[in-house]
Parts: sequence; C-alpha cells; structure tokens
Amino acid sequence: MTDAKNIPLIEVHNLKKYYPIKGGVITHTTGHIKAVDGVSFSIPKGQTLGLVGESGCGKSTIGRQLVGLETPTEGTICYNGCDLAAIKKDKKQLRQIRTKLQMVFQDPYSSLNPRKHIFEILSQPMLYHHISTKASVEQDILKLLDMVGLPKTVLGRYPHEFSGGQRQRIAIAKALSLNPEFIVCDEPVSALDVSIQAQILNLLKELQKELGLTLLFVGHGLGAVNYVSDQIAVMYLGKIVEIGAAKEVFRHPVHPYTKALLEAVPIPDTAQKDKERRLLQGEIGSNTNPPAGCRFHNRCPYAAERCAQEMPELMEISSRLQPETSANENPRCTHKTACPIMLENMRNTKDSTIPKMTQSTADSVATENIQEEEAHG
Amino acid sequence: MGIFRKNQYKNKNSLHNESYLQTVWRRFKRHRLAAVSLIVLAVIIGAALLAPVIAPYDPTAIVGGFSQPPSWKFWLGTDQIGRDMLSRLLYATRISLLVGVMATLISTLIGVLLGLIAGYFGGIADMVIMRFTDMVMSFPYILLVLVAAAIFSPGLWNIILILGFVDWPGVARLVRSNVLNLRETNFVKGDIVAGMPLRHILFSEILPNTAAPILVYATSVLALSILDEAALSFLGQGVQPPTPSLGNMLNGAQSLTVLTSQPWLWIPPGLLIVVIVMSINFIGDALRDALDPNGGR
Repeated sequence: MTDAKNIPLIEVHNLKKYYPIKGGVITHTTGHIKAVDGVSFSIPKGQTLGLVGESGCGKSTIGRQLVGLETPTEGTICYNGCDLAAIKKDKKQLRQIRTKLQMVFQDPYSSLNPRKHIFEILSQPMLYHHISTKASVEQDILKLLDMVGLPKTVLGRYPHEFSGGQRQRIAIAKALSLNPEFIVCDEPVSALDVSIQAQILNLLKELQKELGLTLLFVGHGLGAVNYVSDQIAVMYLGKIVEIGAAKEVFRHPVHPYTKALLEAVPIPDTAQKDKERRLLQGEIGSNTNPPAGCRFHNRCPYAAERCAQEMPELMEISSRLQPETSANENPRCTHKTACPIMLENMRNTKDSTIPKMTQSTADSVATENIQEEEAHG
Repeated sequence: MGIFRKNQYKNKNSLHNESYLQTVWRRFKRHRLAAVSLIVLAVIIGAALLAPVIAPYDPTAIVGGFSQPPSWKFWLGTDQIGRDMLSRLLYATRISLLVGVMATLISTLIGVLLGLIAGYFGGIADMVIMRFTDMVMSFPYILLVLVAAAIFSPGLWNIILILGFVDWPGVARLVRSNVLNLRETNFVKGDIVAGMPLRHILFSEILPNTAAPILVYATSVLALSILDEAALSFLGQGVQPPTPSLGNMLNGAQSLTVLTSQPWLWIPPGLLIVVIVMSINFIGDALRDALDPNGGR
C-alpha cells in the first residue's frame, strides 16, 4: 500500500447542520432541527462508505452538504486535504473542485429535465466546463453511454421515454460526465424495481473499479449498502453510533441500534418464520429536542441509568476484543461504537461471549448479495 | 449544436418519435372550437396587418356623406363625419391588437423576471417582490389605469405601457409558484452540483418548464388587455382620435339616436371585440389542455 492511498479523499470533521424553526407572532427562531449533529468520518480514495439509518436520521443531509447543496452549520469538509469552506471566496477554484464531487439522486424521475433530450442533458455541463469541445462532445457522450450500458439510440430521446432503471443509468452518466473523483449516491436504488436494483448496484461497483471512484452510498436497504460498501457508518438521530469495516459491522455489530437494524432484516426462509425477533419499540426521537444522554436510550433494551445522562462518544473497540479483526487490512477503518455499556460488557466477558448477531441474519444478508449477483449475471 | 442532428438517433419504428410540438398540435386540434377560433383569429390578424393594402379609403379622411348606411360604395357605411367605417374598422383592429400584444409582452416580461427572482432566491427578495405584487393587485384596476392615463397624457404608447405595468402581478405569482416547485427538483439540484451558472439554471432549466402555464396565462392577459384598451378608449382616456381603435369607435356611438337608428356604427366594432376576445380565450383553453404534460395521448 502506497502512502498516497492512505490519504483520505474526503475527510469530514464534526459536521453539523441545524435548520432554524421560525415561529411566534413576530417571526423569530424558536428552535433548531438538528439534522446532523457532530459527525466525523473519512473515506480513503477508491473506497465506499455506506451510510445507513432510519428515515430522518440525517444521512441524506450529509450527502447534500458534501456536494455543496447545503452549507454546514459547523464543521469542516476536506477534499484531497483542502477545506471546501476555505476556498469559498475563490469562485473559480471552487467551481473546479465542485465538478469533482458529483451526486446521483434517489428519484430518477425528477433528475432529468423533461424538456430536454438526452444529448442536451449530457452535453451542456461538459461544454460549459470545457471538459469536451463541440467537435468531440458526441464521441465523449457515446463513450459515457457505453460505460453505463445504454445504446447510442437514446441520445435524441426525451426522459419520459425511459424506464426508471434506464433513467438512473442516464443520471449516472451525467454525474460521470464531469470526470468526478467522488460521487454521493443518495439512495440510488430505492426508487427502482428489485430486479433493476441489482443491475444498478453492479454498475456502480464496476464503474468504481474502472474509474477509481470514491463513493458515499446513502441507503436504508442493508443488503444493498453491505454489497457496495467497504466501510459502514450507522446513524441515529444525527449522530454516528457505529462505524467500521463493512464486514466487521455486519458480522459483529456492537451498538444495540446496529443490532436492531440487522435483526429487522426479513429472513427469506420459511423454516424460521416463527422464530421470535426482537424488534425496536417506540418511535425515533425528535431531532428538535433530542433525548438527553445517549439519543437511543429510550428505545434501547440495554439502557442503564447513566445512558440518560452522559452523551457517549465514539470509542474504538480494541482489537483484542475482536477475534477476526480486519484492522490489519485497513488501518483507517477501525471499528468504533458509541455505546460504553456494550464495550464494558465485552471487556468483562471478552473470552467467552463475543457480541454476535444471530447467524441466520448474517446468512440472509449474505444470501441477498448472492441473489443480486446472480440476477446480474 | 452543429454536429448533432436532432433526428440522427431516432428509432424509426418507435412510437415515441413525435416531437413535443407535434404532440401539442395534435392535442390542440381535438378542440374544434379552438381550431375554428384559430382560423378566425388568423383571418382577423391578416386583415389587420394588411389594412393599408385592403382598406378602400384613408381611415381618417372624410370621403362621403354623414352617417350613411352600408352601401356598395361604403360596405359598412360612414360615421358621423363621413369617414368610411370599413377602413376605420380595419385600422382600429390593427391598433387594438397592437395594444393587446405589446401590453401582454411587457407584462409577461416583467412578471416572468420578478417571479423568477422571487421564486428562486426566496428570502428578502421574495418578500419585497411579493408584497409589491400584492400592493399592485389590491388597487382598483380600472381606477389605477384611469389615474395613470390622466397623469401621463393619453396616447397609444402610454396606453400600452400603462396596461403592461398593471397586468403583471398574475404572471409573477404564477411563475413564482412554479419556480418554487422546480427549484426542488433533482435536475435543478444536479445542475447546481455540476457547477452550472445561474443563468443556465434559470433560463435553460427552469424557464422552459414553466413556459406552458405562462403561455396559457398570457392568452388571458391578451384578451383582457384588448378589453381594457376598448374600455379606456370608450371612456376617452385611451387611444385618441383621429387614430381609430375599437374602443373609441364605440365612443363615437354613445347617443341614443345612433344606438337605435344607426347600428352600423357600433355593431361591427362591438362584434369584433367579442369575437377577438372569445377566440383568444378558446385558444387559451385548448392550449392549457394541449400543453399539459399529464394530458395523455
């Protein structure tokens, strides 16, 4: 592994996004929606970070901040070691860097202008940024279409003539057209048919390998996220509760919320349908007025008294507690969690019980992946 | 777009190789009334444009006796001072249509610009523009025009400007609400992410997607402007004689004698106003259906 590979392409530190709530007779700010509340992570070049969590936990907001659709309330976003907020004044440089950070949206039906045909949609950004010239733009676009697996006949057509999967391919081509290094995929498959989801996921994986792309994959389909991600971050109410190598987080989840998420995955096995599953009780807390202490404590089956008082920080799970640790493979994605209770439990019983998810769930997640691969083949 | 020929990649067997305009035209034709209106309006506009060629006499010249009924010499008779009614009617249509079209252009332009700014930027710009819009809207319309016409001496171009500056609030509101929706679409966000300039986002992404409702609204503004011009001229604050307009031709027919015994002085201009306004409204109706993206085949 060379040194250059170890420099993270994207580094996010203590990122926060608060939306003011206006109200009162004379309009003033009465409170804040804390969509993202102090999140840090880094993504090494060429890797994928999967971001999972319930709806409304702030995962999409992080994606939108990374590509500049929203300005962070606090915290820094570094691309290739340079702070994006710091170069804000230099519009030209910012524009240059912005083209390197692109986004694929969730809903492919609104991501293409219905009044333009595909040639216009794809050529305009390339021509504006001088990535292509009038003479060569057609060749460049044909190359792009080839990459995303579309025939050249699509060029003269309008978006309404395509299916969701085809539109998502066009949207991916549009994102790729500016030669980006980093792409935020904001639930790119959740609006698609199941049979198409696997195709798009495989396409993303292939393109990543081919072009050396770095991805932030936002999603709530655990199978999909696991399939494409090297690293996984689990979010709850604007905070990361567990982060680590994808395999590690899936095989040995530590935080109770991660466990609950993984156990909620339906098992496609009729023999196990009667097996009792612990499902999370209660509603996700309010992000205007989040629960004191650990934000998960009011739904957590392991909650102790102190969980309601102190806000737990992300702590490293020391490798000796982890039997098959992958820390050597990738020193940057150490497995961290924000649950001191579970960590203590692990320390106390380190030789006997390793926190493990039920084998069946791990299997089912794995099965899903195999099915997806088969569907593609 | 020099190299790219639009139909180059079209699949000849595809059901979908109909352009947007072709679809609109096909759907428009389904409205019989609108199709007929379009023909009628085309004839009227043609006659108005060709007025200098086809008008038998000079519209301001006294060419015959006073208030003569229609005859072979004067098809629509003559007015109280002996000018040919047909020639005056042709020139009047020309003036009325000019006022209507120019006023509509001005108000649509102002409305679109203010609506775009208010909708896209939001915040203070939105508040200032929309409160100003409310203010203009809350004035009694005809009174405002009368006052304005009284301050600036009445005349053709003043009427156009006055009507243009009074009709825009509706357009501004319409455009603003459309922009508010479009601003949240992924293709606009995608363009922001792609670092496209503001002018591209506003005029190439957002505006074409709100063109259909603007066009439909503009037809009603056009009909209204023509009516307003007629009303103003009828009240003597509009286009000034001797220049003929449909309104001031009616103005000359205010007496009871004219109404009862000289119908050729007021029926043709009155009828023409009704026909023009109705045609425009029918066309607007059909356009609304034809331009609706969810209107089906």
